[in-house]
Amino acid sequence: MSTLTIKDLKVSVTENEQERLILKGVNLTLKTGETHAIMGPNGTGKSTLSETIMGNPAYHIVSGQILLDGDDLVQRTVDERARAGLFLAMQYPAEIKGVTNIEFLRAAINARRSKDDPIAVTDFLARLDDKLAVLNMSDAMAERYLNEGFSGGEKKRNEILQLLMIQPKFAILDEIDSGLDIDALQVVAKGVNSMKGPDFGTLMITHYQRLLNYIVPDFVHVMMDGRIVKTGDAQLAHTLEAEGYAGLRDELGLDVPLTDDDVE
Amino acid sequence: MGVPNLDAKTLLAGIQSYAQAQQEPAWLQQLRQQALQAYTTLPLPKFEKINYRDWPLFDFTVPQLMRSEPVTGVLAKTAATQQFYAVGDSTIQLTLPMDALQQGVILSDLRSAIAHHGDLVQTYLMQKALKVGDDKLTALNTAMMTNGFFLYVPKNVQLKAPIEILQVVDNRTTQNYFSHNLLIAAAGSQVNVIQRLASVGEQANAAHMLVEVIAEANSQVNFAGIDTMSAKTTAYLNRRGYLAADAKLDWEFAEMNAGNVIADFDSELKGRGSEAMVKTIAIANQAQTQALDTRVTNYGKQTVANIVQRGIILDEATLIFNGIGHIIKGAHGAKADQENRLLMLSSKARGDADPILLIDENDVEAGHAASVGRVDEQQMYYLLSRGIPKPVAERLVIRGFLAGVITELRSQRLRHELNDVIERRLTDGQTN
Repeated sequence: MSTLTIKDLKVSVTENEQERLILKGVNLTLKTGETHAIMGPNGTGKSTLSETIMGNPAYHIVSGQILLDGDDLVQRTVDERARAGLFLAMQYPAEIKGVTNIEFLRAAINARRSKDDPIAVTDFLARLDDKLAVLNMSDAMAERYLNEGFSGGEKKRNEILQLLMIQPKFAILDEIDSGLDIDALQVVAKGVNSMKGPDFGTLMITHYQRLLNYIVPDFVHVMMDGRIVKTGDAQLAHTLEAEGYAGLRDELGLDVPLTDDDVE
Repeated sequence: MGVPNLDAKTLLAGIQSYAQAQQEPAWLQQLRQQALQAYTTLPLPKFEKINYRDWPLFDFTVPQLMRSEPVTGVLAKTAATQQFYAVGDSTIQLTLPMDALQQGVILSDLRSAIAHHGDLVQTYLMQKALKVGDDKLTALNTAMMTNGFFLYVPKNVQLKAPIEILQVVDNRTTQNYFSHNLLIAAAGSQVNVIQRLASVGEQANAAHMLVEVIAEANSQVNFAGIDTMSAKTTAYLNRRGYLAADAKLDWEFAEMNAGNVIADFDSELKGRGSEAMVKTIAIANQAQTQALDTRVTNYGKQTVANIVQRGIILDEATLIFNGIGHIIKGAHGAKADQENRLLMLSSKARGDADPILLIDENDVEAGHAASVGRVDEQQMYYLLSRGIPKPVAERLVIRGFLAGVITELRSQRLRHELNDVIERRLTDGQTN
């Protein structure tokens, strides 16, 4: 079993040459075998949290720790964190023309193996066929250039394909539901659910409760203004759906502006 | 300043005695003398933003035929499948498919072509594509040339399978390399040529290599030039196309050399409706300089010129793309478009992507795009986030950048070959 612990994490970004504090002290513990969801209004720091855990250089850690089984990842590079077991399904995956999905996936898998022991082509293709089938993806998609010309839905599916191929310890899914129709959402959920087990933990970031009907969380955290303000079980998401974030804010007596205009 | 180690008199005597020993026809001996005269009087051709006058391009001796042994190793494997394979001055292998022979296609080395197809050589050599008065370096080559390929595709003959040519500069000993190559595609013919220029050995040599492509009316020539010479080879390359009416010439260049190179890849759209497409990829690393002048000149009406170039610069290297689009007065309805992009991977790298448009007619279309940029941070982050180490991720981003040209290449085999060459070039760079 592995544990990912976020301790009093404070993170800023540079905006117009000024540092703005986005995360104001986040505490969170994830264990493999668990499924967590973070919900919250726009601009509250959910994506900042996921990008900071992965090591995106645009986000600056002011203080705090990101511990994987007690080992602090803060000083580790992005690729080291990934090889240590983290995976981030991104909101806006990059497109790379000229590099096929297959080449990319092999490079990612071989990065986790010793140099003189790359994955055998037949093993790789067998695994790929298996995972493509789970996600109702065609072989042709694996041959295409990485995310190039993919629709929004295809990109999300491709993120999940990478997740299934790489098999990390912890996956952070950053708004994996955005822009998906109900059929695509079901396929993506099926992919994530196929990973469930004692050696895999999930942290989902979402605006909407709908995703949680398909990937049922053990814990739901609500984030507002750079902090986790409430934690509960799956029922909490339903309450939020009914009462909105404003209801919870007032119930907790928080002085947080909510810009409904930003909500899609 | 381009002064050879030899005085003009010794050089002339050396060239004359070589030509006589080869029993060259009088017209050729005369052409060599004219060329030598032009060489001694013309200034060095100008390559924008590059100073090559101190390069060892002029370390040569009087022409003499050297005997070269075949190569071994990886190159030998490539050599085995070639229609034309030469090392230094020695032609080692020559084959043509039976149907090509039956249709009158001629493939030989330049020396045999002079002996057996003198009329054809005389009609085209330095007469249409290149000319003796063009510049100092082409004149030098013409005075000094000792080898090269000769390919003639007769009227209306359409060759499907590519003619593959491997030429190896022999650096196992110090010697001259003056290679002059001639491709004539007669009216209505079609031909695909892949010319690979490599080197073998550890001595430092200068390589002078010219290709003249004459694409007669309605012909279609696809010409790929893949150059992979070593750091020990300082090179002057010139590939020049001449296009008659409605001819199409499609160039694909890969400049993967490790030494200093100046290259002139020009096309003259003489005939109405002719079209030239130039696709180039180049990598410069370590302390190397590569400068490529790519020019297409629209003379004829409704002619179309297209240049797309992508280059990668690592370490302390310099890579220069001068793209020149020239539309001559009278070329009504001509089009000239070019895109030159460079990607720099090091703060010490130097790159220039200069589009030069010279437009002397009104009813034409001309466009250009140029950029010199650094690695896309978003792409890098994405690759790293999958656990791919930085050097591998960089190579993938580079591949993606070059793909703008690679994916447009006609042959899948060539795309694969170039991806391998690129991979080798980049891993070479990283071990240093």
